[in-house]
Amino acid sequence: MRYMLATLLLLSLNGCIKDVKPWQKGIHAKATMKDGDMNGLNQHFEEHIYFSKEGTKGGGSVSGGGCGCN
Amino acid sequence: MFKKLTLALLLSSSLFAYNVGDSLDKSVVNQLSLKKDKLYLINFFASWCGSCKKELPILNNYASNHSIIGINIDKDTSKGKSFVKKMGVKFKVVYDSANNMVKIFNPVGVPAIYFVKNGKIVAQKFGGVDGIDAYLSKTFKEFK
Repeated sequence: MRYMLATLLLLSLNGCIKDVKPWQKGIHAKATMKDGDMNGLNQHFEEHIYFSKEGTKGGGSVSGGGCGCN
Repeated sequence: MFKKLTLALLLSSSLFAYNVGDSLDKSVVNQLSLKKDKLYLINFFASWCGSCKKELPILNNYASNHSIIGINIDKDTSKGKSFVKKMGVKFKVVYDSANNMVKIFNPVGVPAIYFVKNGKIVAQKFGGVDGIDAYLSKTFKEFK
């Protein structure tokens, strides 16, 4: 029991489990943080290949930054 | 002893967030020049926040009859100022580029709305704009 608590204590001190605060999410909203190519035409083309192969559309990216509560 | 310490450490991030019923820090009251017996709406927003762009025009509609204070949390104040100008914000805006104020409130998301009366938080709402107009009019009436 003590070892388990000590492990939990050590994990809580680990920086890796630190959450991103809402006011820090501006960095995520930057265009450079967007997944994929920065070239709009290339991006569109790649998305076309993706949805043609996978038989699905959308869900490849997020629209803008904002509310960090969802 | 171990159990309590572990629990305290794990919950520490949520323990320091403002909630309904909490009294505001004196530094916040002074900085925002909050008066007694007056209802204030404090809104945290940023230029990169999509929901804030939708919410600000709705808040503008209440600016003439209610006390609204906007707190812009952009790291770059010039970006915040141009955003405020672009959105035609009609209420007082405080620029919190160092994020000192938002760290004290520690909201779970932006846009964050806090209703404050007599230095206490009486209501709060985070993120999203669904039904925000109805929520604002109801809350303003309730605590006026």
